[in-house]
Parts: sequence; C-alpha cells; structure tokens
Amino acid sequence: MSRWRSPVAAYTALVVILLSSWYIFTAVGQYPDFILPGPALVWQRFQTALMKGRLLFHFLVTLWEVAAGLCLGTFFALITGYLLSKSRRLENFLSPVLVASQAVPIVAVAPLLIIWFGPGLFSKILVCSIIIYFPVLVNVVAGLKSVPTDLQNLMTSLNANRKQKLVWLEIPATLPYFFTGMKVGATLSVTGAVVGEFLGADKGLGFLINVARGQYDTALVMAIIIILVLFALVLYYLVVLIEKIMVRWKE
Amino acid sequence: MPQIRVVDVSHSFHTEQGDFPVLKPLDFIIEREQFLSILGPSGCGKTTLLKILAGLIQPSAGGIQHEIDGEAVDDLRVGMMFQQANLMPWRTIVENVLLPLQLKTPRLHRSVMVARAISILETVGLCGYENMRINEISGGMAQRVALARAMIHDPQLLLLDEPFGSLDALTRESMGEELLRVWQTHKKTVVMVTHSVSEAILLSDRVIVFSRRPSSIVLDIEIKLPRPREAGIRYSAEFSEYSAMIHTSIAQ
Repeated sequence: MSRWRSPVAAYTALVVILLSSWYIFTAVGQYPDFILPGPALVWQRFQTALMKGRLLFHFLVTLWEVAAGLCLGTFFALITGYLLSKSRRLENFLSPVLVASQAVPIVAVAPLLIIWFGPGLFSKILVCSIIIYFPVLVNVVAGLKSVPTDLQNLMTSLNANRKQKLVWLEIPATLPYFFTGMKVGATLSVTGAVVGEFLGADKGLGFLINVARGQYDTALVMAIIIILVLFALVLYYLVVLIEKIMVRWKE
Repeated sequence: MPQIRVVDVSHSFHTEQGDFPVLKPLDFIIEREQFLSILGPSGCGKTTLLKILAGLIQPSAGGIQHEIDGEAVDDLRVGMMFQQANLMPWRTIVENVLLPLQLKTPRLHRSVMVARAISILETVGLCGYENMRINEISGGMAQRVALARAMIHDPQLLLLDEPFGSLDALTRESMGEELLRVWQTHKKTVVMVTHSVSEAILLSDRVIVFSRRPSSIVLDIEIKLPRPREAGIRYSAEFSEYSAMIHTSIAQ
C-alpha cells in the first residue's frame, strides 16, 4: 500500500486506468465515432478545435462569465449575509423566501433571464451568480453567527465601533465558513455558466457543446466535458489555495 | 484613578414567563485603586453586575457613575478578563495582546504597539512566546495572554470574570499569585468575580458576598492583611479568620 501514499501517484493511476478502460472499451466494441469515440480521437479533435477552431475563444467567454458571476454572486451573498446576521427580524422574514427560491430549479429560471436580459453575456453572469449565491450566503450567515459572544463582549468593552468589529472580529472569524461556501460555489458556477449558454447564447463552451451535438461531433462534446471538469477542479483548488493562505491559523 | 459609584442598580431578565429579578437594588462605592472581589453562589448575578460595570448591559434601574479626581466622566478605559481566555485564534500571541491598542489608539505606529505588547508579555512571564499561535499554548499561558491584553491599554478599571475558573487548581493558584504581583506593580481599580475564597482574600482589599438570586449584599468586609502580600500569607491566622467569616456568610 505504501506506493499509493502519494496522492499524485494515486491520481495518475486513476487517470491511466480510466483512459485505458475507455480505450479498451471502444477498441473491443468498435462503436461508431458519433456514439462513443476513443480517447485518441477526442484528443485529436481537441487539438484541431484549439488550433483551427475557436475553442480557446469559447473557453475564455465561459471563463469570463464564471469569474464575473462568482464576483457578483459572492458580493451580494456577503452583503445580505451581513444584514441577515445583524437583524433577527430580517432573517425571520427572508429565510423562507430564500429557501423557497432554492426550490425553483435554475434550469427553469434561466430561460426567463435570457428573455429579460438578452442572449448576451449578462444573462449568463446572472445565472452563474444566482447559483452560487445561496451556498455562500448560508455559510456566511452561519459564520457570522458563530462569532463567540465573549469576543463580541470584549470588543464592546473596548468601545469598538461597527467597522472595527467587522474588520477585527467578524471577518476573520467568518473566513473559514466563507471558504466552505466558496468551494461549493466555485464548482457550481461552472455548471451555472454552461446551463445559461445551453439555453441561449452564441458563444461559450455550453454553446459549443450544443453546436457539436447538433453535428453529431461527439468527440468534441466529450473534449469540452473534460475541459469543464478540469476547469471546475482548477477553480476548486484555487479556492483551497487562497483559503490556505488566508486561514493559516486553522491548521 | 477613578472612583466608581454603583447607584441603586437593580436588574431583571425579561423572559416569556415574566421578569426574573437578578439583582436587588445595590448601592456602594468602589474606591480608587481598590481591589474588590465579589463572591456568591452560582447564578447569583455576579457576572451580571460585572457586565453592567463594563457597560455591556444596561441595568433595569439605577446606574453607574464614574468620577476621576472628583469630576464626573462618561466612560472609563476598561480591561476585561473572562472565564475562558477568549483569545482570537487567527492572531498570534503578540497580536492578541495589542488588540486594545488597535482599537483605542489606531494611529499609533505598529512597531510601538508591538514593543508595548512585548514588554507587557514580559511582566506576565511570556517573554519569547510572542509569535506563537493560540492553539500552541496551554490554558494557563492563554490566561496570562488574556491578562496582558486586559492591561496593555492601561485601563482605569479592570474587570475580571472568574478569570481562572477554567484552570486546574495548581495553575489557578500560581495565576492568582501572578495577578497579585502584577497588580502590586501596576495599581488599578479591580473588580473580580470569583468562586475561590482564598483567591479573593489573597488579592483583595475588600470582599463582597452576594446572596442567592435575587442578590443582595450579605457581607462587605475589608481585608486588612498587610501589603505587599505574598502567597505564604495563606497560612496565617488572620487569613483563616477571614476565610471562616466569608464561608459562613456564603452558607447562609
């Protein structure tokens, strides 16, 4: 077992196993390429789409939507989170509304947003920010509420004002919770952008999947899916990295 | 140094079942540089009084008046110590200690704050620990850090809420002696809530004993043991007399 202690080795092994079983499966089954292309073909299709097609452009569009959506959604989640944690009345009033809003699937709301805000980037950014809003909000509220009463008393006894309490106590105490929400939100945001693009767009990876599917270009569909998975993974570990830097004391 | 008047302070908690009186009207004066300890059964409102003195809660009736050299002032610089060390885990020891300076005198240069924090850490015997994290130190050390933090902004009133309540008996004794030493060099008005009679006698100029809830004062005595005191005074005859007197009044 000692050989598997290094996670890098274990992941490499996992990827190799997946790829080779995929390869063997296609080689033995001899499926048509538009049903199940082999890894070599997908890799080839990826390269041509990157070199000759506009894969990079579409990727950058999705990246921009995700980045903007993350910022927007997080921004509003932080503000409402702070207000909710400060006012019992507001929380009692808004909690059921927020929970109810989660019962509506985003796929059902996205077409409306596209009708209202057009097929451009903005509607995708909105879908993206809506999808990450809730996990970040819930965690920020939980974090702000977890601030120990005695530390709040300490700050009050030192006549700290609202801003000082926020900067020196509430923000640092909430950071670990915030990052928990961001980890969920970061992966969801990719889904959000692609769902938005699926339902009405003329650029982005979601749009490209739609086009490729229409042309039975299954290899390209699979290549894009792999890109999306890697994209979400990178985002997730980016959050983990920032968390490691900012919340060193938790270790 | 201020004089603090507790003027007809009474307090009740409002609950759905009605009002629970916690403190019956209290009226007394805390003299300047006095070390006052408050003893009494659990849940008798000692901590409530401390919170009122700290301005954390408004009493249901009455109020606190502060006077410095005969002149009334609105606010005092307050240093507080809690039952738990109550430190910020995201800060190092020295950063925890200089928190009051960041809040009270934010313009002060950071290096000055650090220097002051380090010098006060030395007085509580934590020289060389300043860059350690809170989760790396013991409970007794954490309380020393809390003491340093309570003292760094030179408070006019030090409020100690069972400061050593969460420590084991031996650490507790040595912390009591530590506090005695620190207080004797930096005289301040202190109000300490405690459950330990011997801690109260060792440290205090005056001991007040509260009755069960709703609390009133059942004993208010001056501890006339000579100063400066040392830990050995615990074994003197006078110490035992005070101890017996306080124990009887608590038992009532």
